Amino acid sequence: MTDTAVEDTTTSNTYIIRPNFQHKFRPVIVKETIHNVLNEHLSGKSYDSEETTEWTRQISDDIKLKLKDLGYDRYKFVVQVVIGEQRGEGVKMGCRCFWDSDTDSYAQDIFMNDSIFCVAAAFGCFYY
Amino acid sequence: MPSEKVRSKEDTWTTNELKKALNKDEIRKERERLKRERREGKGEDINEYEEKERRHRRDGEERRHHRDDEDRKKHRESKREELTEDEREAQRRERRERKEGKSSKSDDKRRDEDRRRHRDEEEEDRRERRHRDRDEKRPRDDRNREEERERRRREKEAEREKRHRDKDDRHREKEEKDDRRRRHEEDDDKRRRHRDEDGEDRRRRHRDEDGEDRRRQRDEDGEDRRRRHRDEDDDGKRRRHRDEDGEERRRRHKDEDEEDRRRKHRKDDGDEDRKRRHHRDEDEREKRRERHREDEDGYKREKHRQREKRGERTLDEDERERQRQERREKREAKEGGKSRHREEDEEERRRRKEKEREKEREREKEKEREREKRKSAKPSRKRENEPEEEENGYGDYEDDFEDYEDDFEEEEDDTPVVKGKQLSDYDLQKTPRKGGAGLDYSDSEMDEVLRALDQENERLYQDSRQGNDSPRYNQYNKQYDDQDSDSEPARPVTRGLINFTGARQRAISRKANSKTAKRAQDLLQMIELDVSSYDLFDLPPVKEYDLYIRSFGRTDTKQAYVQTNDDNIDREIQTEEIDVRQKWTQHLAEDFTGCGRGDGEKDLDEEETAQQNKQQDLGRLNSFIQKAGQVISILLDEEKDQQRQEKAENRTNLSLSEGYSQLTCLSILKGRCVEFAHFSPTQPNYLLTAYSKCAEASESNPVDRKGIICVWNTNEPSYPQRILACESQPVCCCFSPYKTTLVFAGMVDGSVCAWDLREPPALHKSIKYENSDHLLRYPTYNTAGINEVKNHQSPVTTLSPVVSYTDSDSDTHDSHEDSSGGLSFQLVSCEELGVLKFWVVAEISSPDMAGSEFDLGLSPGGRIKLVLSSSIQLQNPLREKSEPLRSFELQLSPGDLNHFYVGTEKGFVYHGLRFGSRAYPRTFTALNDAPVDIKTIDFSPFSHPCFLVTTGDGDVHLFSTKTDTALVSWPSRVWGTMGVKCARWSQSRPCVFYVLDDNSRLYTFDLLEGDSMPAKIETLSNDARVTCLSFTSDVRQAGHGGRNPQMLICLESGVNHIHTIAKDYREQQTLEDEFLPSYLARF
Repeated sequence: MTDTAVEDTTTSNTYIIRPNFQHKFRPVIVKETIHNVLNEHLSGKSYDSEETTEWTRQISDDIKLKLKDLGYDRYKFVVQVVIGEQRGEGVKMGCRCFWDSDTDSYAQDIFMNDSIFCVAAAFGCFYY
Repeated sequence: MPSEKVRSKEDTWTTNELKKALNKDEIRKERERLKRERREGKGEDINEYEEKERRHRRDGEERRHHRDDEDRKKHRESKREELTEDEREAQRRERRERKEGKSSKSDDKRRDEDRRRHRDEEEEDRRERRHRDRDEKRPRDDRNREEERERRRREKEAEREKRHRDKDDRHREKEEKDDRRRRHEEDDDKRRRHRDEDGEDRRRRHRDEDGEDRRRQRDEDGEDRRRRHRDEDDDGKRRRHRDEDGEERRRRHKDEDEEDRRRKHRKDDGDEDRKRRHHRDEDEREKRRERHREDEDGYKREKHRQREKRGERTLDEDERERQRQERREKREAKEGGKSRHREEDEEERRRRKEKEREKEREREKEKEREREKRKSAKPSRKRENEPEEEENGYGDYEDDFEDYEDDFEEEEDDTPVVKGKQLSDYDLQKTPRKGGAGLDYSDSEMDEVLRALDQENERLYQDSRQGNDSPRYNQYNKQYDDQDSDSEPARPVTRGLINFTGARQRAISRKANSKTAKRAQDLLQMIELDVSSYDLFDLPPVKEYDLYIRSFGRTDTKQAYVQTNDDNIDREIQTEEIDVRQKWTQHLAEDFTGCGRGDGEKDLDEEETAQQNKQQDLGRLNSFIQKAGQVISILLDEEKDQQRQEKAENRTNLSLSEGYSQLTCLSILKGRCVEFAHFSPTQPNYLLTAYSKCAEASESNPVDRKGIICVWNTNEPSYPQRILACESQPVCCCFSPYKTTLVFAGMVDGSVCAWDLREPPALHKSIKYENSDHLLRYPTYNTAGINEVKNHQSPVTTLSPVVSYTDSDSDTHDSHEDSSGGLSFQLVSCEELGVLKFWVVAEISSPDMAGSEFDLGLSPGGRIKLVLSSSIQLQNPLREKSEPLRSFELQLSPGDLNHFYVGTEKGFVYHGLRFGSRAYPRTFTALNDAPVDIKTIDFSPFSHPCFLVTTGDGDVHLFSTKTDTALVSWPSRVWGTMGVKCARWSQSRPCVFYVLDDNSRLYTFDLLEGDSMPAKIETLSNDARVTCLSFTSDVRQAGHGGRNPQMLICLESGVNHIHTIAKDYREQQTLEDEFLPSYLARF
């Protein structure tokens, strides 16, 4: 109790509630990286139900790694990749986030070709 | 801990105690005892009067301590029962704290400060108390504590009373239970009571050991372990809170817990008791509630103290505390469940052991008392050991804290109950707990309820403890259990080691957790979280067309748009294309040959077409020029005539002539002379000249052997309009009436030829002679080709169209027009053998260029033919015997075309009719009967019924048509010669006529001046004989002043002069036209 109390008094003012401007999660940059990753993985490929699971994992891992390299030190990332076959049906995807909109953000990119649509979304949550 | 041991062994433990110390439980008891002694020591500071009371209190405290210990153990056993409730409570507390937020924190801080202050003071006080004077006035806190103690004592006394009562009851009603009985007997005796509790304690410890032994065998029992783990993990935070806050409450309810526990024991005695007790319990509850209220303050203070102490503690202490906690938990976990199940079994055993333990306890108590006495008796000695004492004191403190903590835990156990007490169903809640403690159930109904509740509780426990298992802790537990069972004394050591590592980790994690939790709380106040939803992906369904395109549009196919009417294309060009061609030329050429062929076939084609065009064009041009030329030449001629009238050219000395123009003598006609000339009666400028036969034909001249007639336009005397040629020698010729389109000629051989002047020159041959081309036209129709019967057998003397030029305008005009328009007229020819033939001139509508097979007289492409209509053989009327009558000139009566007059060789003029039998006078004869040739006959052009006749002997006679004898005769002696060429009436003056003799003298008679002698005698040509004389026939024209009358004089030399008649002879004198008839009538 006393320990924590001391801690409180000393650390209460050192919380970082906002990311450094340089390290703010910027959707544009992230989107670009996602875009690159998607193109790298999926360009020239056609839908194969057996491989897509592997692809999604690879892509999401790749995106995550790339995001880590971008220097968002205090961010936790959630990367979601969905690959589906284009058969003419309508598809609608959405997300709902309970977060601090000042710091947290998401970026999303879509890759489409004749047989594949791939939606990759990366959510960055600031870690206070 | 080690220090504690050392101290206890060296200083305070007796041999017995040492022996007991082998047993772990006894060591612990020792420690408790020591603590108690310390407190008693404190208590001795108060004055004698209070001695007893304090003693009492001390006892209570001791008891409480014992109870605490006992409770600690009990708690260890029962904690697992209570833990769910603890947890719940802890959660509740947490929630509460959260709500309270910072306010509580600030309170805490304030409290902390207070605590710190108190702590300092307290410590000083304690030291003073311990080392100097125990009678010194206690600080406030101590006093508070005293109050607390008093309160507690009071409670305990009340409890004790209650217990006495209980025990009495129990004693009375249930004597079969020894321990209870014993307890009853020793009721008043605190020691015994002490012992009793100790015994219980021991009993429980034994039982614990037993349980542990048994548990060792059942170690595989996963549930316990799991529960334990879960406790550790799940309760991480809770525990923290429990440590901080829960202690307070724990302590607060400690007394009540004790009571509860006691009550539980009592419950064992019976259900009847329970009922009775129920009433009492209610009372007690009320009391307790009051006490609670009072106690809370005190407990808080106590807590303060504790915190102060703890604040002084080093990290070791923290760790120790944690270790202790761990130990506790483990123990609880181990002992949990089994003990409860086994409690009933163990109870007998416990009771048995209790007696022994009570005895021991008595012993211990005595020793304790002795020790206390020793302590009080030798304060100085204590002072000597001050440093050690201090250490020990600290150790004691630690122990105290441990105890406190234990108390807290116990409190914690009870809190739910305390909370529950505030509810009305307190009893109901309480009963299951009793059942949970493993008491027997005598009452069946209640038992069932209790059992059910018990089971439920157990289930809750299990639920709450599930998942506590982890392999590490399992192992740890085993180890621990082994150690417990094997050697009790060794236990603390091993426990300490294990506790260190595990506790540190847990402490760290707890710390971290608390930090993060705090952090989270703080941050949550600073940060606003919100919900935001995004559309990640929206792919609309594909439309049909897109699908089609996707499936068919890309597979080797191409989309094309086609209009149905593929070739229906409109193009519009405003400017025409420029035809560019290469040509070579050296100079500007006037025709096509001047430039060369350029490139390609195009030029060849063009040249061919151009060649064709050229020919066609030339033909067309020629025809055009011819037609246009005629018109133009006529116009020009008219102009010339007017000019000529004014200027006299080629004036002659002839009085008759005003001047003359000479017709060109063609080279091809050299050596020929005009034998016959004829002016067109309607168009006086057109002249036909028939040439004589060439005297000596030369081979070079192709025309020499041919008969030639020239058509002249007197306005253009340089070259004849046409040159007509024929194989025979023409004797006479004439124009078609009204228009000069046709020319007829009678030949020497008796044939009659017709020329169509409209024929194109292409149909005729041109000849070249002496550097000039001459187009010779051959007759369109020649009667020589037809049947000989129809043709003339002798030379044709006269040829004349059957047309009257002298008809009155009104009478004959229409007919003229008709005949001319239809080009159909008759022609009469007369041969020397006295045969007249009438020819019909017919026009062929479709000329045949190949010629006619049937009509041999028709030339190829000719459009005119002569058809013999009738022929008349002249008969000499004077003789009965018909003999051929040679005839010379034939004249049609200008007034009546039915009459014809033919001069014959018999000296008379034959008068005949075309249609009719006889004419009157049949003949006209001169005075003498001598047969002379009547050479020429000439009717007066003015329609007067008279004509002039010349004879072969040179006489000139004037005849009237009504009389057969000559009116006037001029014998040849008048002119001195026999030869008279012709006698011609003047076309202009009715009373004037000309006589030409062979000597080229022209005698002009003017009847107005006298008919005996010629008015004038002129020689036309001195050197050459005049072969032909002709006058223009258009009298009217002359009279009207249009064109002056002209006279053609053809000389033998071939020279032809056209003289314009002089004014005297071209203008009628007054009444001249009436004079002639009167003159004629004279005869």
